[in-house]
Amino acid sequence: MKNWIKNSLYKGISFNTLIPAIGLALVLLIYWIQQPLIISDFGMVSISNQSVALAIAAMAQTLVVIAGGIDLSVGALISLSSCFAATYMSAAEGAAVPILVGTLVLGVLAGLMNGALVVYGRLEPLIVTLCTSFVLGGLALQIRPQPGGAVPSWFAAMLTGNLSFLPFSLVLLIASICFIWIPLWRSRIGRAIQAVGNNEQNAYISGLNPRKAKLFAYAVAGLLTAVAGLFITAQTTSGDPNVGEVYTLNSIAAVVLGGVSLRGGRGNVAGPILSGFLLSTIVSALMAWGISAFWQSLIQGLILILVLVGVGWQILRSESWRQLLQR
Amino acid sequence: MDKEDAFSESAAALNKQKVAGSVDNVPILVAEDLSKAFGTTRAVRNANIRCYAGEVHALLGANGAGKSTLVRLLSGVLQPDTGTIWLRGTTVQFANPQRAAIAGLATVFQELSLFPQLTVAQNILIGQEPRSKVGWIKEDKVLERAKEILDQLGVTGINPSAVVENLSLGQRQIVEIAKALSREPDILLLDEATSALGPEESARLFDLVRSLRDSGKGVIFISHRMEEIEAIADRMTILRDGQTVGHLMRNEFNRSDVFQLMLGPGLSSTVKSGRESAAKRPSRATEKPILQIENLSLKNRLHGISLQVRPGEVLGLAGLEGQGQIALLHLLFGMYRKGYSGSVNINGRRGLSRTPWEAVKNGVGLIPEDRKTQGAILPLSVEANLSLASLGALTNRFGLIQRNRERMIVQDFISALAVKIASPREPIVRLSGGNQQKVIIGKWLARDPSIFLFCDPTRGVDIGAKAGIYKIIEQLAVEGKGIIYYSTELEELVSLCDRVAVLKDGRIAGILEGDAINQQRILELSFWTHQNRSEHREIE
Repeated sequence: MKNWIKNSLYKGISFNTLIPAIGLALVLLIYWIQQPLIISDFGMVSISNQSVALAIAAMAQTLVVIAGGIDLSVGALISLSSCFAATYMSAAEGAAVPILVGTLVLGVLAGLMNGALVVYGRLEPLIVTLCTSFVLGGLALQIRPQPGGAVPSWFAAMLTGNLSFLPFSLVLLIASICFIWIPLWRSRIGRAIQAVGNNEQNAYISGLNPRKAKLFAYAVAGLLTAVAGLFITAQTTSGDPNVGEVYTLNSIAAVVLGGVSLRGGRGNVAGPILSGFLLSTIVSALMAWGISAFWQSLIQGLILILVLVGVGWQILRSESWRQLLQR
Repeated sequence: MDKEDAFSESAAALNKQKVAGSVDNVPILVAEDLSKAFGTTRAVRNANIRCYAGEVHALLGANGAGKSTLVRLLSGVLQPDTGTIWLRGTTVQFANPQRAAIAGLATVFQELSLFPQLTVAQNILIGQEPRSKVGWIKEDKVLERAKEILDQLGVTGINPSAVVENLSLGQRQIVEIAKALSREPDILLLDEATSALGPEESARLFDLVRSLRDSGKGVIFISHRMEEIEAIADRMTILRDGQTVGHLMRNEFNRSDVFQLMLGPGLSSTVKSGRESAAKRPSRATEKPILQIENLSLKNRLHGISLQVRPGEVLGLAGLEGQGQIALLHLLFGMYRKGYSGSVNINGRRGLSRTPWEAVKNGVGLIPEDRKTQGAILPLSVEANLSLASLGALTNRFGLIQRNRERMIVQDFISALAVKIASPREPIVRLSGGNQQKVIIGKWLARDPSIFLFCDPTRGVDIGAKAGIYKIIEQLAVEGKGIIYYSTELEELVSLCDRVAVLKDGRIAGILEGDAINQQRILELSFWTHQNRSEHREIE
């Protein structure tokens, strides 16, 4: 038992995780210089609440990317979960808990739809999830054309509150890691996902079931995305058919920044989670320094380019067209 | 038993059948009348093989004899069209390699099937990791079990918790074998397992194979190294054109018999058949070489290659597949930027091209080995494909392509090459393989380089188109072009080439010239062993 803790700790502190960790530390330091109040229970809560949704969405994206795909429907599914939960939770007394579970089931089903189209439809993940993002986004608009709805106050408090220095959003993130990610990652299916993402043919020849592995990856990604959607619902206490949009590309950015190879098979989840925090905190740090919001995406983009060129150049260059030809 | 009778019947029908195996021994694996066709090509036809407990059984054949297809049929990667496989007396049909492995037939494939990002232990036990009650993988048990398997194999120096991408190719091969053995198979298929190994590692692998044999397992061993087969095999099955043409016991091994079987009847070494076309060509021995290669090496692929091509000469490249022939052509075409040494002189210009476009500028053209992914741009028209290499000459001063000149040139080449198409605007993908290849050759004819590199241009091409391609090559020789022609077909090399260089493990095993070129000689050199270079090397 101790062995695997040591093992996963060792793996967690890989080079790829180091980049977002250092980046996050730097950003927090800069933030703190301008705004010392962040070291307080209020500061902790605000940083954590701002970042957890992206961190969980990044976990979902990581899973799909490691399985050799990409998920462009993350944002739409977040919007749909939010609209679904905010609209029906307050509809009747006692509906909250069934709807909560229903939202999670909805996430799994949406993920399975992606997975089935990729696996059985033999379509490119990029195309499949682009299409399903329209479908899911359309459903969200059907349920709730305008932002609105409500959630029980206990629900909002449960996910966004805090116990002195411990934000409940952080508890949600840790729970997602412990109860969704780790059980998957430590099972044979998790190993199969890594194998399939690296080389589907080898996985097949090694006696693994590539279809099952991919379906699992998409389904669990759907579940995680729904968790992120629920958290955003609790945070905004309403449903919004456009609330998820930014999460699609931001989750991909977090995955890339977290050192997960877009070619599949490689990476761990710690990097993307930290990157999720980093990308979300940059925004607040910039604001604290009075830098205009217009600069934010430009700065985010530059940071990504810097990391990719400076650090990931070896990974990116390892398979140029020349080497592909000569293989 | 039924299958025993059936087998002996079909075995008796085989030409020069030698009944093999001791009578009291029961075969673990019997495959009978296996056939597999891909489209119209029959890769394997009524092949038979039987492997007994406690023997190492070698499978031999020249290029394209159907060895790898047979291995894929036995291991469950492919399913036979007809025929039956018995494993320990029971009929089996494997849906996939895993089923075969569980049933007791494990395969080590030529292409390594490891996952580089995982550890040695994780790779060895993939899909069969020991698990806890909740389904979590017990990493410490995985490590322990992998250590056990490696210890059983007598392997030292491979750390089970090392990540596979940090291992050498030879070490990976050992891990691959450990992976295959983790399911404790009764019979192990080794497909070119030694190709990546150095002498020491090979020796260790042989010890391993011997100990497997002594413990009563069957090993089917495929290798392109004759000396290895002689050293380790108890019996061999020889394939030719997808058919089983002989079973030999250890005491019957004799290289010339084996080569005879691999080549088939009617092609004994004294017949000078098929040399007419090359023999007609005037001798160019006095002319200055257009291409001169001296002591050219490429990291891990080519070692000390020295060759020269004179204008109007066809130099053949031969040998078993993957011995460096393609690497040599790619190197000459500028596809390697670094990693080579030696001197090359092309058209009187020293040094290698460092990019393909530089190579084209220096007058080199390459007809690549894979028509579909490297030769043609499939969705583009025949016209666009044909003019692709010579667009520079077809553009006007504004940089636009002059369509009417393009059309004229394309029309000329299409009729000269007898390409059968409805219209030059037709996408090249709709053409037959042979016509596609003609267009690809036409692309270079339009550019008019002085050196043509052909990479197995007639593979998968129908007979009519083949004849057309031979004619083009004849014509190029008459025009005084320098031609390097790599082919996997012996007959072609014999009939077309002025000289043939046989490559083995990235070295020149020998160069045959004039009347010395014949199929048997080429095949013998293909199985040449590097150690006794001085004996075999001959330059006539």
